[in-house]
Amino acid sequence: MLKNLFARQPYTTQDQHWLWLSGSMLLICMLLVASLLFLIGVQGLSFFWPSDGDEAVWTRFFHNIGLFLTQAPTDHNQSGGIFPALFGTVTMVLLMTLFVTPIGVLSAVYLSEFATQNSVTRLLRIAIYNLAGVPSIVFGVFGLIFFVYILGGSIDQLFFSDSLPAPTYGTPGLIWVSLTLALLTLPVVIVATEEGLSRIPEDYRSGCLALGATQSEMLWKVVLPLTTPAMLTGVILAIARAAGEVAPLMLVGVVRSAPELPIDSQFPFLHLDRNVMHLGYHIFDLGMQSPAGSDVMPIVFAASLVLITLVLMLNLTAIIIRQGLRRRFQHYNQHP
Amino acid sequence: MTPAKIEIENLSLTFADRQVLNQINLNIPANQVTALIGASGCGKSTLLKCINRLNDLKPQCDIDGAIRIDHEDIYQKSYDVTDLRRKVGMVFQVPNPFPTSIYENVVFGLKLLGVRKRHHLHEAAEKSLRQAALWDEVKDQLNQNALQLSGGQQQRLVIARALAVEPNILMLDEPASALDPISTLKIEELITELKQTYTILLVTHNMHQAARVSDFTAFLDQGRIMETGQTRDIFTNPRRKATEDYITGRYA
Repeated sequence: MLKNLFARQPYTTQDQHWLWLSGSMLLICMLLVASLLFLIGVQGLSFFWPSDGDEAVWTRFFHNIGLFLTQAPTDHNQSGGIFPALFGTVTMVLLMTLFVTPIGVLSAVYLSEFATQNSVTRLLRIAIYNLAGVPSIVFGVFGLIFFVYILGGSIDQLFFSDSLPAPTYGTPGLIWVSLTLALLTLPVVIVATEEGLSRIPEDYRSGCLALGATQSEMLWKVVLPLTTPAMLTGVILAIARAAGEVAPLMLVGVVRSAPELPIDSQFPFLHLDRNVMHLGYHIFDLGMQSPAGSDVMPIVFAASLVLITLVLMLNLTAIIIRQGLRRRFQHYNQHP
Repeated sequence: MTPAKIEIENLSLTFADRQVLNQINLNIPANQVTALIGASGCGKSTLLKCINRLNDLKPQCDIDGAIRIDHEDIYQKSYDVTDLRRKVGMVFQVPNPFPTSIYENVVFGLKLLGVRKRHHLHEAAEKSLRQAALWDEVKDQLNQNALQLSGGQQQRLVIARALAVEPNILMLDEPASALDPISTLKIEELITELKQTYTILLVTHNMHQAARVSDFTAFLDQGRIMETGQTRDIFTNPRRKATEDYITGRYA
């Protein structure tokens, strides 16, 4: 692969200038990314490395990692593990996926398949694209006002009026975190799905209609299955963004320390109203607000390493699924 | 003269204020092959898509005039469009099998119709694959992805898919333009075979193909019918200079 990178020639003098300029920029990017991964990786892993003795260091090393991932933090998060934060992050991202996928996909379907293309749809599309550029803290404020106070407050009045004034849903909690994240990542899913829909050749649509399918049968049986790789790309991007988001979540339900996990053996098992812990916030809290100061930095690095590994794993899973789908449709991709 | 299966009367179509079809009058005889010839962009494909109303969903598309199939106006309000499309099968220029198995492709239309009985579907699949002269090549790999077939096989699969819903008209829009000569020959033999049962409309750019397989020919130029008649007459003794020029390749 490296050989191919340099094998293309001959270049003119002008080409060479651009080659060197763009090449060195790429090198800078690669160096920055590499040093980030290296720093976090080394610092994070050294946290787990046993400091004393040389007996069975590897076993103890992995044992430490295991403890860190599976135990709850103690002493104001300054020692112990990160399990609740890890669990909370995964739970809220998965829940967000459940919200954002149907809403985003169906919106895109309406926008590009059913709506008449005119100035209104154009305006709508511009609005959605711009939603992706709104600073995430603004979504947090919106989530707090709309989801927590208005929506949650109404739910409390309608269904939990006997426990008022103590709020049930009218307070920050898991469901509002996931909904805020879903709103935040909605544009990504819509844009990716629309892009995918527009790439389905007209021949497939006409071919399906010509067999007597209605427009919705055409959509469900031919067009949407072919669009799944594009949809998944959108969901991957959404997950990657959501897992790393911190600021807006502090307003709608992510806390420094939650007494209980959002999922447990008590009915109704998934507790949408509970506060949750989050890896990103955990890192922020330890790094910036811990009374112990720089003593806790090793935990910060270790937690950061876990967070990027988690995002990487979520991405990899989705990429593997997408590759599987691509392989199924590979001949379609070669379609002229 | 065989009776007309499709009667097209004063059909005009504008697309975003551009006149694509202009006062088309054409009778298409039953159980014959009618070839539509003409330069690219003259409206042949648009005319085909009027007959199964595929233009309906296009925005800014206005259609005027009448098309009757078996003396029934297909543009009248009470006419069921999905019903029409089952009656009028269509095969496109580029083979467009769906990205599922060969079997699922063939029974696609039947499943839309609500046919669920397995033996019924199997019988129909075998019958239409045989009709499309593809059965012997694919009978052992019906569950294989249709997109792995060659271009010529895909085109015959698409024909089988159209035949499975038992239409009585089959429209082929340059069915062999993306195929090699051997596959083309197979498709042409197939067309000749199928005209026993179906009324066939064939759009083609290949004059030899039109001369070989069609009984009637209509020559379109810039949205108008320039000349119609027996293929034999049109190719040996065209009445108009424009037709002669087009057929002999002096068209400009």
